[in-house]
Amino acid sequence: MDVNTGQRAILNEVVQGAIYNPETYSGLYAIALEENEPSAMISALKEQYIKISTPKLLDLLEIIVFYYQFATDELLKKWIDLTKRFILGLEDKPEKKKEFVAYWKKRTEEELSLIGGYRTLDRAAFAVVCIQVTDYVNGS
Amino acid sequence: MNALRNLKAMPYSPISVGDTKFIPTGINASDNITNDLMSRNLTVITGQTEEGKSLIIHRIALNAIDKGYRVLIVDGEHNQDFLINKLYQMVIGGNPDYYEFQKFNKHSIKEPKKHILEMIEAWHGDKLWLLSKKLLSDNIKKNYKTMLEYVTKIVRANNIDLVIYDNMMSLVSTSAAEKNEAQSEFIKSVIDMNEAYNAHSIVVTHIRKGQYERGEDVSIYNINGSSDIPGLADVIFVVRRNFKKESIEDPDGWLSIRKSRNNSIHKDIPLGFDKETGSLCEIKNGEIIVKSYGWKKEGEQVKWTLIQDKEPF
Repeated sequence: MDVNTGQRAILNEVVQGAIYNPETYSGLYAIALEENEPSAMISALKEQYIKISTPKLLDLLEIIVFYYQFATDELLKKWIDLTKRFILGLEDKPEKKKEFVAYWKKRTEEELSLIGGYRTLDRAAFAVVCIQVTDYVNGS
Repeated sequence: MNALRNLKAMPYSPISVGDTKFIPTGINASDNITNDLMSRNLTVITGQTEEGKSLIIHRIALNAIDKGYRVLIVDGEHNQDFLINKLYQMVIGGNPDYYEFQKFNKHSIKEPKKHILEMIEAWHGDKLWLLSKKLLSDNIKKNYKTMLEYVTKIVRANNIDLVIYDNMMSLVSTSAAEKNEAQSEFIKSVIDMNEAYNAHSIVVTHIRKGQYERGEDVSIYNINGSSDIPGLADVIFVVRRNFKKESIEDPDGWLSIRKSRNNSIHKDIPLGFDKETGSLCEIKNGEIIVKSYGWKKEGEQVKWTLIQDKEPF
């Protein structure tokens, strides 16, 4: 087995674990985001997306913001890039893309409705991400 | 600190603890000699089959958690739920009021009652982590290097202080021809991880089969596998069961310190089996000292009898 096969195996294990047990895998997921190229992350996410629902995938995408204090500017930028590229990578699955974008916009609206309320810094960071990705989805 | 040091330009300064962690095993006679388990160090625990290695490492894990350290048990053999049940019983002790007894085919299993379980969960919080080799994907578990890389990420992501590998033979999957080299590489990688993340690791190993009678004292140079292991370890414990126990005053086994890099002291520490917690405990003045954990805040209990009514281990 080559090294890359092992790294891919770990990444898949982490992404899959994070879907079902986000609290347990949040630290590992953050490290995966730091260490892996976006293409590797997207590949692992897409592999799992076949098996899970869109809301579940959105939960996974949110892990980095909600469960870990790693929400540095640099990591958030990477996260935004990852999400954009993930959406772009769904071109070959138009139905899935449509569903994902619809959910994304709905989640963004929910986030924005909470502004000024109870939100923590983490949630504020997530709202920023939501807006940026929504702008991207809208083509602005 | 620089690799090259000119003592005139960079004179000696007193040794400081710095960020070193000292994780007590809970066996005082041992901790006094080894100065607890120090971070960036490696402990090897060895012994023959069914002589008490697992009992000792589980006790060490629970004691570390009780002292506030984060522990990861990398397990090569056990069923995860059975292992957790066993660990919880060690913490809870033998009081039947704390359990419900459930049939498991011909056996009965002690399940902690819900409110007891909640107390135990609150006690360990997020300080107890298990990684079961059996449950990993094939691409990870069939390559020990990949598995160690995964362990390293877990340690880093979750600030683990103590990693227990139980046991090396079941975790390092490789051909017989490459076994020694693989085990040597495994140990070196564990040492690197300790150094990088300020952790302590315990590796459980077997003794070569057919070398000794049951309960016989063993040489650390007969550890199954690589001959590098005794040299690489900072502390080596041999766990031994007393098959020749004749009176209640005789110990049920020993924890023998066979290497302590700090001071080269070797010692055989007598142990008694406490059937209520299923633990091997230190004996002091003829009494088994059973440490209770902070889940109930009861403090230290002393068992006043050494009478055993069932086989230990």
